[in-house]
Amino acid sequence: MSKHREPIKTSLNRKESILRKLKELGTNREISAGELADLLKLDRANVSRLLNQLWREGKVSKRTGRPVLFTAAGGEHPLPGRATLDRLLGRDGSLKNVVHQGRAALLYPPHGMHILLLGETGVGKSMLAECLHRYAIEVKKLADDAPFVIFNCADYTNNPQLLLGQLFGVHQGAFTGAREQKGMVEKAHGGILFLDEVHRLPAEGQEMLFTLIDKGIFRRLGESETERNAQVLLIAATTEDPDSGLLRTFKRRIPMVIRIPPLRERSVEERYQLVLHFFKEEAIRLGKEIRVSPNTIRALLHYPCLNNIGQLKTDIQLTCAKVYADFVSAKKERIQIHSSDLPTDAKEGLLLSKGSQKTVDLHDSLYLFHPRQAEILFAVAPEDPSPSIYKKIEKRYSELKSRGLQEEELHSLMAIDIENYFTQYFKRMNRKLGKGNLAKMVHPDMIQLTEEIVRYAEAKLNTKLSKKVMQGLALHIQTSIQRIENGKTIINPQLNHVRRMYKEEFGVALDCIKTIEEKTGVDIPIDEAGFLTMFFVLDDIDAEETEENVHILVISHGNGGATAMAEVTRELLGTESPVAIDMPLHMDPREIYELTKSHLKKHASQKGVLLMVDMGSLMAFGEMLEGELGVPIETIPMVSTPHVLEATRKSILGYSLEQLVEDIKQLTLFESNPPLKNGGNKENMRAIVTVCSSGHGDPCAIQKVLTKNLRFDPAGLEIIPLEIADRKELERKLLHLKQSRPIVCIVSDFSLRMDLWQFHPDEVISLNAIERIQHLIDTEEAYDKMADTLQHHLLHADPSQVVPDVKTCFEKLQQRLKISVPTKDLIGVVLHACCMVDRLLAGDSSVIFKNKEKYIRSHPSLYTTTRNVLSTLENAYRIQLSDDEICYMMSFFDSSKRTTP
Amino acid sequence: MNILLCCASGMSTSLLVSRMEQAAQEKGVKAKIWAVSADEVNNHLKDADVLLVGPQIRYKLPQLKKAADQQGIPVDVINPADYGRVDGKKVLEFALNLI
Repeated sequence: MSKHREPIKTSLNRKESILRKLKELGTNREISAGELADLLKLDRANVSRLLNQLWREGKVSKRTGRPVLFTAAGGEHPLPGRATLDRLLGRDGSLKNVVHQGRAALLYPPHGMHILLLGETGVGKSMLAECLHRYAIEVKKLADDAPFVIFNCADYTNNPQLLLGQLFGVHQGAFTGAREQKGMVEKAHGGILFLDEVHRLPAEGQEMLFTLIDKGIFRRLGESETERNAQVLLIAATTEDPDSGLLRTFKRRIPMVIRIPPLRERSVEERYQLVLHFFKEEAIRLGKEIRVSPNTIRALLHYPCLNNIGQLKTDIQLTCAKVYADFVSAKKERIQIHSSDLPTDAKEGLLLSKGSQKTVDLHDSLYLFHPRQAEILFAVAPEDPSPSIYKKIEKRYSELKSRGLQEEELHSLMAIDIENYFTQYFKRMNRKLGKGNLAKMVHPDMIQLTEEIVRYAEAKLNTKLSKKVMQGLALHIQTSIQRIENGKTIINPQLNHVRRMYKEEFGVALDCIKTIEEKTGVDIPIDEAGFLTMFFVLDDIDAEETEENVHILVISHGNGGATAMAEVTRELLGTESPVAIDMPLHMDPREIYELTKSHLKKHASQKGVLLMVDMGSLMAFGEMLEGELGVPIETIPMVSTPHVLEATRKSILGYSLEQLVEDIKQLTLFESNPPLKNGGNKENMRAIVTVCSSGHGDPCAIQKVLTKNLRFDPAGLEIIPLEIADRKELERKLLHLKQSRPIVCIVSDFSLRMDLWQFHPDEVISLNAIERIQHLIDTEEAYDKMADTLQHHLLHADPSQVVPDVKTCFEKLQQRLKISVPTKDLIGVVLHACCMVDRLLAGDSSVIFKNKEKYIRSHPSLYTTTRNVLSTLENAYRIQLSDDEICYMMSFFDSSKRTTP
Repeated sequence: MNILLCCASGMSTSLLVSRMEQAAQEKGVKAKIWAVSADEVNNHLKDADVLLVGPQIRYKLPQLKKAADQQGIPVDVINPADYGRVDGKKVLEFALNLI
């Protein structure tokens, strides 16, 4: 492809000359790239490329097919899909017959055949009539200025006289005060008269119409002598049952009956196209970009749309209008539509979609409808947890700079950072895109472009780039272009360093940049080449090491025991982990040790390794391997399938090695292994902090009083005495402590401005506060032991799983919402959520939250966050949370309702 | 006596209901105990002698108190520890003490 590349300047000139030529040819002349290339004596490939550029800029229209035909775009961008029969959505599917019949009717010599259109309300009868009109003009069956007159027979049902007058015209004096007046029939002369709801035509009118049909003549109202001629092609439309008496007479006169199928008879794929099309139309109408969530599309695909396409369109318009209003009144930053914005009926579609057999593969990310770009784009999901490389680099750069580092130092640091980032990036990519999900996240055009670039780079650098480079690059380029289009900058502080270090790759990257520019029409700064270079350079990173979760390895004695456990787990969870090593009895443990070591060398993750073994020498492996390999390794002995299952499940959820060990042990109550290193894990222990400053005796005294008078589990609670004389310092310390472990309460005579239960030392010494503190401890312990409590209550979920999962989820939610719910309230919420999971597993989703739409609308960000965080539960238990359930959850965490304890 | 329990959707409290019924039976107390969602409380208050509220909707207490006061029945939030343990006996006692 570099062979053909000319300097950008000439290609600009060529672009102009192509456009000029197209304009000369006029907007009605469609031409292929090949023909145009011949006309202009240019290279065909170049012309094709430039045409596509022009098309992307909205300067030319293109009609897909073979060959692709181009025309200069008219001043106004036409609403797509309305112009001709060929652009009719579904022309190859459910409307194939319709198109075929319509075309046949129009082409029928000499003047075409009248048409009777049948179909329910909203199937698109008017739209088809319009299309037929346009088509007739295109094929020169009608003159360019042939009229298209619409007359709705239902408009004058109460006044047949007026109706007939409107339709056929009025002769002066036909009735009192009647003036000479032209009718619709005359106005439609030489063109098409579209009679909608023709069954509403009174008997008299029918007669007159039949005369027109049979003989091509009519009379104005009140005329008796004169007969007028009209060359009119009739398209009559009705929603009536085609077998009704009236229609039988009609059908005799109008043999060409076209039935448009209702929406429910059309394929989901077609409906999908329609939905996309209508959003696109709205984007053009508003002249603004519209973003639409995949769930919105999903709902629109499946709700019972009684009034067919018409309703579908109206519902989409209403939704856009509503969101646009929010946007104009600055309630929203952009026009972004979520399923909660849909009309109530349509929202139901989301529920219905689950049971539906017929589905379309939707994209995971937001759909982006741009008023000028013809294609629908896919935005990267807004909640993507991995920050883009740019943000990361910008942040890091300014961070380093503010520390006053020397340029040289700064650069070498940045080099390390960027390489790290890319390594991480690949890892994340690999995980995300495990099974060909690339097409869901990246626009197909982008994939194609990337493939082209990769091929080019491979040829130039004489190397083979792996698939992950391809994937990473595709996503990266998409992000870059979006960033540039949004007016953000791209800075690569490493540009010079990269250029010097990887001369050859950098050169290739520069070429690739040009290709991207040409394909997308976006100007790309040279800094981007620095990033591309990294993709080519860093390919040899060990991609296997992508697991960011704890790596689980099952080893047991005997043939196939470990393998069986691992297999069951993999099958049940649908994962690729864990890995198993069998130790046949005759095998030397040393051999197994070496085998394990070489496996872990390749696969151990930074988060650590969990060895799940059965007995004997295997139990000692962990410690030895840890020393040799330098990764944290924990061992769980007496492994069984439930253990492996649980450990794997939790490792996927991202549990840390420590958490895993803790949880797995609880599952079995095995305490055979001495507890964790470093003298036990205080991380999760609750704390009561006692502080003393000024003559109220020492804090240890208070600690003693508490220990003596309170009942609590010493493994779960620690009383920490602090000696601090300054309130600010105390607040700082407490804040720090609070981050790592829950604080039950604090005993201090400082008045603290913190969200904590606080008691005065006097209250403690006089024992007045003991009962209240005991109450707090009981609450906390009840919270800890919730799983035990629920053991016999939940029918479908295992409390030892649900409770911790729910708790983790809520911790995350509180973090995200930046609120802290006191345990005493949280306990109820957790119970509620556990019951909810259990209930949903049983298939009961009957919960109803009153006025949820209103509630959701008034708390959009709370809703989004709650939904997002709770999706972990949805995935883990394969359940779906309705908006009602979410609303209840929201109500618990709604900070506006919370008061500090 | 009639004990009305109220939580968010009336579903998680139903656990507690069965425990309390059990406790009532053991104690020989004749009690009708049932759980409803916060939205429905008003329709049930007239049949209740006491209203107990789940801790997760503590924030609704003022509102519920108003409604309960009109009917002249006592209302309070269930002790979270008892709630968390689904301790039917304790909650029943709590209810009895309120009346």
